[in-house]
Amino acid sequence: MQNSNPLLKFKFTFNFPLIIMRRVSCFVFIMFFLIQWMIGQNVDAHKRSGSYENKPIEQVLRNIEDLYGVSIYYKDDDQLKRVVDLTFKDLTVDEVLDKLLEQTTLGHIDYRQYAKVVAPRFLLEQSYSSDYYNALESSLTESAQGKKVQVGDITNLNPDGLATIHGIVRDAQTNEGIIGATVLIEELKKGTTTDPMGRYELSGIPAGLHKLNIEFLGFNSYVENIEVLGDGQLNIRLDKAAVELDEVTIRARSADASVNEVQIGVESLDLKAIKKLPKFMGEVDVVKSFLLQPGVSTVGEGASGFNVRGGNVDQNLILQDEAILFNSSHALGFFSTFNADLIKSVDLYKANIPARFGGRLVSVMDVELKDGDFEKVYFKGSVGLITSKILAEGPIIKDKLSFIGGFRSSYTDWLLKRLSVPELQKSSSFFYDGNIKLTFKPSAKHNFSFSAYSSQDEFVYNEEFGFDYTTQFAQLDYKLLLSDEMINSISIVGSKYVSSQFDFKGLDGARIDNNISYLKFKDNLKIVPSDELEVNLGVEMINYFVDPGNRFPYGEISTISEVLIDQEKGRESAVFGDAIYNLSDGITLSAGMRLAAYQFLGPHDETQYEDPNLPTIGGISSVVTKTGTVASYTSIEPRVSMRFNIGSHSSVKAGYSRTSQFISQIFNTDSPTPTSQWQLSTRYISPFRSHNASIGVFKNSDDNVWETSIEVYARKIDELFDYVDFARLLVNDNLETELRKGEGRAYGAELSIKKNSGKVNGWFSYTYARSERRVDEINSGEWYLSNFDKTHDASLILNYQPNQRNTLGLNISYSTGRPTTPPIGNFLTPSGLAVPIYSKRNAARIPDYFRVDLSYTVGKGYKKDKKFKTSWTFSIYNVLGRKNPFSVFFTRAAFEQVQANRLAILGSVFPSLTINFELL
Amino acid sequence: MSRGAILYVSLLVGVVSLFNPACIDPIDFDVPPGVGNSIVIQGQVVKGENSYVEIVVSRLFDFTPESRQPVNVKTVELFDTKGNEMILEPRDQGYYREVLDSSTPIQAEVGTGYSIRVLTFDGRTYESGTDVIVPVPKVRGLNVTKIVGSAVNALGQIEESERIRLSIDSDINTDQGGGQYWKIFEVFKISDSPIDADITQKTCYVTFEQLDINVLDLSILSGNIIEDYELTMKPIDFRFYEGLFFEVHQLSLSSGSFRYWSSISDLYSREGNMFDAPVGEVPSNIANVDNDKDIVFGYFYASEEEVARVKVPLSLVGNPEPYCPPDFAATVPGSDECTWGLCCDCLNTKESTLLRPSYWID
Repeated sequence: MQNSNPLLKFKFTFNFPLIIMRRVSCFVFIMFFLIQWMIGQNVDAHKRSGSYENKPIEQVLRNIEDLYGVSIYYKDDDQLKRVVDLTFKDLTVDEVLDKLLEQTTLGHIDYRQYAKVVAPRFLLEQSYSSDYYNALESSLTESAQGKKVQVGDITNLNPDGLATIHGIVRDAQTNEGIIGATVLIEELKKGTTTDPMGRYELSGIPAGLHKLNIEFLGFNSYVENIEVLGDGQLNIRLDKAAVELDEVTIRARSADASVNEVQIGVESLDLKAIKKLPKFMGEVDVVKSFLLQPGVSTVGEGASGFNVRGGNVDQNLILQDEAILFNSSHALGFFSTFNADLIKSVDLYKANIPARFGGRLVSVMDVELKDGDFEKVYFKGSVGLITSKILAEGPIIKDKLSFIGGFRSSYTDWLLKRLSVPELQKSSSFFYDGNIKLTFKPSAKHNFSFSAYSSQDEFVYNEEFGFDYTTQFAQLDYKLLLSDEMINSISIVGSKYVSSQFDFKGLDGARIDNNISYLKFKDNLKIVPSDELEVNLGVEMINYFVDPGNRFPYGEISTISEVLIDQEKGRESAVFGDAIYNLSDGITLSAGMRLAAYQFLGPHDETQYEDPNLPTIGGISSVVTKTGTVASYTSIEPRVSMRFNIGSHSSVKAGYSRTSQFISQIFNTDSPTPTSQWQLSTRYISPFRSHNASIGVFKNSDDNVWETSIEVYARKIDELFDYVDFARLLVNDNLETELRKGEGRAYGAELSIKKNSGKVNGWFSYTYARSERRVDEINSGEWYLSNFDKTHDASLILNYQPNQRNTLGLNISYSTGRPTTPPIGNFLTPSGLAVPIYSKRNAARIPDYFRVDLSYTVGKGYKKDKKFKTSWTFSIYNVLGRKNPFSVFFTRAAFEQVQANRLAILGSVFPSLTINFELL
Repeated sequence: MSRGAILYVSLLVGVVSLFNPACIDPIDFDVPPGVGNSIVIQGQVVKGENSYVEIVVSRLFDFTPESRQPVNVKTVELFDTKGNEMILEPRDQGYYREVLDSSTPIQAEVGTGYSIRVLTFDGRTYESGTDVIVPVPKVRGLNVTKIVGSAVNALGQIEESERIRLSIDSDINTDQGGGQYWKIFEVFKISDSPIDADITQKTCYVTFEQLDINVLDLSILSGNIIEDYELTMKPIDFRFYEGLFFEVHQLSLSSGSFRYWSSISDLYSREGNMFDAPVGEVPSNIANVDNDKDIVFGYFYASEEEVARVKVPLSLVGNPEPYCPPDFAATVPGSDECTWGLCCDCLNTKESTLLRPSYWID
């Protein structure tokens, strides 16, 4: 029945569950414990006498405690309310307890030498580990001190002494679950990440004291000593780390996400890390930072957008929250439109696009903006050589309504006016962007946000030609926490992108406008019924309104005719759903489906061609006005991913997806211009469609300090178009006559090695990639390289961080030159003009690209209570001053020798200094 | 490094680097194999003051002078849509030209279509499509003005300089589509300064055709006239010293031939920047009738031309430096070889003549 032998304490029998009722105050307990500790060896030997009549057993137990000076612990039990009579003389405490409890089903045991535990007798035949006793002791002793967080109680502790703790990590301001937060008990090397509802579970945790660490990008870390008493729940609310963002340790994903996330080909930017990267003109740029990741490239410096795995620039879906951006570049591509200070997270899906995203063939860049701080107002900004920005955020109604706003502007004109080049003196360049976001959370279940964005670029060259383009959108989001398992998000977005191209002088002075606007509705229901299953269901509808091109005469003497092409309308609708299911500890499956439908809407004057499959100007037969649905397409898009864990730190992932794209950008230059129009799919212009597959091996080591991965991918585009030679793309009402249908393929391999921490950290990435096309009417129907094919692309980023404040960064980038079409022959016109004859399309390459950058970052001071803080980043872009070619063109020199010429846009060293400041 | 030092270095180097514009350098470039000995056939029928047909047959050449090869062919025939035909006689290797007048089977007429057939000695037959002469609009006048603008000097530096701007006032016919094409000639007078005392000083009239493609897309214009449309700008130099005429040949182009010349203009005017239109295969309306894989370059077109001329007033050009005599030794040291071209003998170029043009006025 009892076992008081200390040597057997780890094996003796006992029962569970047991709720120990602490019946003494903390102080008394400690004093009592100390006294008992000293005299404990003799407690059981003391004999006492007593008599109790008509008293509940519970009260008798308390009297026995007093009489023998021993603590007795017991759980609530109806039997303890039974009234008894008890008289005894010269009995030990054990003998008295035996006598008292003999008419019940209760028994008692010793806990060490200073306590008795009363519990149901039938449970007293189970083995307990040392962890159990440690937990028990902790519950009786240190826990009472109240210096740490307790999880669970001893009654829920398994006999093996291991407990499972779970809970929800929430944003303290919005009460939303935080997805992907790292939950880690370092000394046990046990960790996990929160699921889409913010939930986590750690099992196999030995009872006792542990240090729990929870981290997530943009939030203050939660570091706390916890005391695990048994299975239990621990919910955590993380505060935003807005003021001390640079000071906290932040990671975009959990430390082991590269191994354990089911999606393959996801790149998440570490916003803290990119601020220390060498940067052009001192501007932190998320798009440029992605270029250092495997599989992401650009056609050259100053080019708009980016290319993912050999895809076109327009095949990337760029989202700011739920708003689609059609031009993510400022200053013709030198900067992106994202103000890094407002960004909460950036993810790039370059392989398997989740079913909730659609409408683009290759990738999704998902940029999520921060909410304003609900407690404190503060300002933040930076001053650079040609741009400056400022951010303000804070509460409007504390804990209910917050705002965040950021504004960024360039001021390059003062520099241009001082240049010695007359053309540049008569040039100007300017851009700005501004964001505002209001977040309202009337209760823990409801969250409303309204955000608006506006940006503009103006560029004039030599008072001869120029561009002007603006993006504006507003969006309203409503998130409803239906339960801990379900959250519904509704978004409504309205956006307009307007671009103009000016030719200021002469008879052909003209302004060409093209616009695209849309209204978007999206509803996404996320259900996480268990830790093993996550389900996303939703609908999405986008109505597009496209003005493909309007031309107006510009200037008094212009004789340019006015051309107005009718507005085109299209509707893209989709129903989507996916589920992520943990089949076992080592296998996770993500399976989804997106059913997309597209309609090109009338009224529309549709040109009829003699051969609809090969429309030509000469083949026009008539024009027919159509109403309703003029053309329609559907797309069934399965999205499947699977992860197989190989051990605890390695995994193999594979995925397949089908994607389609109903709107494309029209450009046949190396880089799209701001006025490159967007074209909806029509009867003659089919949507792009592709199959995408990838597989990879991922391995982390040294406690996730090192991450390595190898991915292999392939994409087959079974419908695309390319352009006929000398295509006339501007203001062309019969654009389809300039396009030819074809197919494409891309394949490659990516290697990534990252060291996430330590004084020396950084990463190396290498990409082998091919991207090819085939169109019957181009290149004699043979496969040719796309403009975005770069066979080898490698980046090395090294940071030396001797302390938290100082970082020295090195960036080395190399890539194969992109394809070009060189002249291979020549003939003379009768007047003596040499006419070059060019090779097959993209038969050669421009010279390779190589660049070395350096940066030195002096972080903020260590005094956290300082009201005004500054940090400095000094960058040297292109340290070697290498004249990397943006393009190669050919001139005819004396004796008709053709000379290749390299155009380098950034052909010298570009140092910059950025001063960042914060005002509390 | 202190923050002050960082700021100073950054501003100093940063500003310096910003003043360094984008740069263009010649580079070595591996050119893929050529297109072989493809034939090039270029031809035109022109209705004008002196109507003519001109055909040039050559081969593609790579980038060495030795590779240029005119091609003699067996026959070159001209056809019109009235059913007439005539065989053209060679005037030089690969060069065929005939004046078209009432004495020839074919005359150049507006509204009539023309085509050619070329038969080579190895039996290949090339035929062109038919191109119809569209009427050329009337030239209303040429204008010359002096402007000051930036230009690249001989050292490659950009500097402000005075230039002569030539522009045109003309009718246009936007209804017919196609385009307008201007060939621009400079005709200047020059008196040489022979270093050999036995040679008499001569006065020549030198005609150079400007190697630019000047085409205007009529399909994007409205109205029926263009005024002060800029054709070219020339720096003021020795050519203006004794007088210079601009001679402008305004030609009408059908939509097909306009597309051809426009494509060549695109290729020729490429600057290599990111917004340049991509290169491509210049469309030809000539094909091997027996082998469609035999790639043919060149084009045959028919047009009407109107010629207009304007003299650049000496009062406009000021006092440009004369070409002759040179202010330095015009001979190779140790020999009598003249190195100053036109100055030693103004007839040493085939574009030069002693015949005073009928329109010339001093």
